[in-house]
Amino acid sequence: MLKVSFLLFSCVVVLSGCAVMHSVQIGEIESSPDLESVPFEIKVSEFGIDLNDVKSTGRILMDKNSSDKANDALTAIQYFQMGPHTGAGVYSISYVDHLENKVREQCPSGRITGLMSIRETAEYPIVKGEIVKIKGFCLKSKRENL
Amino acid sequence: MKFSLLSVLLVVLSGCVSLNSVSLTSVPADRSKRVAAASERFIFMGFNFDNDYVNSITSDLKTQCPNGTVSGVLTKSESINYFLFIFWKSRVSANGYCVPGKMASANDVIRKRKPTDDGSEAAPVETTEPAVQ
Repeated sequence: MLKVSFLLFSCVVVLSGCAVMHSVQIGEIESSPDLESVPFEIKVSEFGIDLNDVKSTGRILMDKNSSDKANDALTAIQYFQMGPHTGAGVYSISYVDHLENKVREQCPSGRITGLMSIRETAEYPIVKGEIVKIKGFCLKSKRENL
Repeated sequence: MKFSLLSVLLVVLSGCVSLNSVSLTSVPADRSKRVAAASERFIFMGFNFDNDYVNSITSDLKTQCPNGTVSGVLTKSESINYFLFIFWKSRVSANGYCVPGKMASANDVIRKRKPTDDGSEAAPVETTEPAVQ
C-alpha cells in the first residue's frame, strides 16, 4: 500500500511539472468608460533539453564506462551552449517569431492595451517546456457590441 | 551563545532577495498620481505548478486608474529565499503613473508628416487612428 502511494505521489510530482518564471514585463494600460477590454492570451512553447538532467539519468541507467563517455560527449555539447540564457536549450528559437502576428489575429482592430509578456519554463525530468506567454486586452467600442 | 543563536536566526529568517527581471515603459510628464500593484506566491521545495498569480496585477492597475492610462510601468520580478531554497517566495510588483483622461498610448497616436514644397520638415500631425489596422 505504501509502495503504491509512493509511486502515485512520484507520478503526480513528475508528470505535473513545475512552472519556473524567468521574466515578466507589463506595458501601458489604458481604460475608458467608452471602451470594453476583452482579454486575450497567446502561448507559444518549444521543447527544451536539460543536458545536466540527461547526465544524471545516464549515471543511473548506464554502467560507469558508458555513462562516463556519454558525460564527456554531453559536456562537449554544453561548451557550445554557454552564455546568458533563460531555461534549457531548445533546437530553434523561431517559435517566438510570429508572436506579433498572433497578437494581431487576436485583436484585428489593433487597439491593444495592458500587454503582459511572461517567459517561463515548465520543468519535467530531462524535457523542459520553454514557454512565452502574452496576455493583454483588446479594446473594443461598446457600440460595436450592440 | 544566545547572541550567536540570535544572529543565526536573524540571518535565516531575513531572507536573501534576487532580482529576476526588470522592465520600464516610457515615463509620462504628468506624474502626479502613482499607482502600484504586486502579487506574490510562497513556494515550498520549488513546487509551483503555474504562474497565474501574476494575472491580477494588470487588473489591479486598471482598477486604480479607471479613466486614463497607466504609463511609466516599472515591473520587477524577484525571488526571496528564506531558507536554503526550501522556503522561498516569488514576487512580481508593478509601479506606474496614472495619466487621467487622454488615451495616450503610442499605439493610438500616428505621427504623420506632410510633405512641403520647399522640402523642409513639417510639424507632425497627430491623429487618433489605431496604428495597426
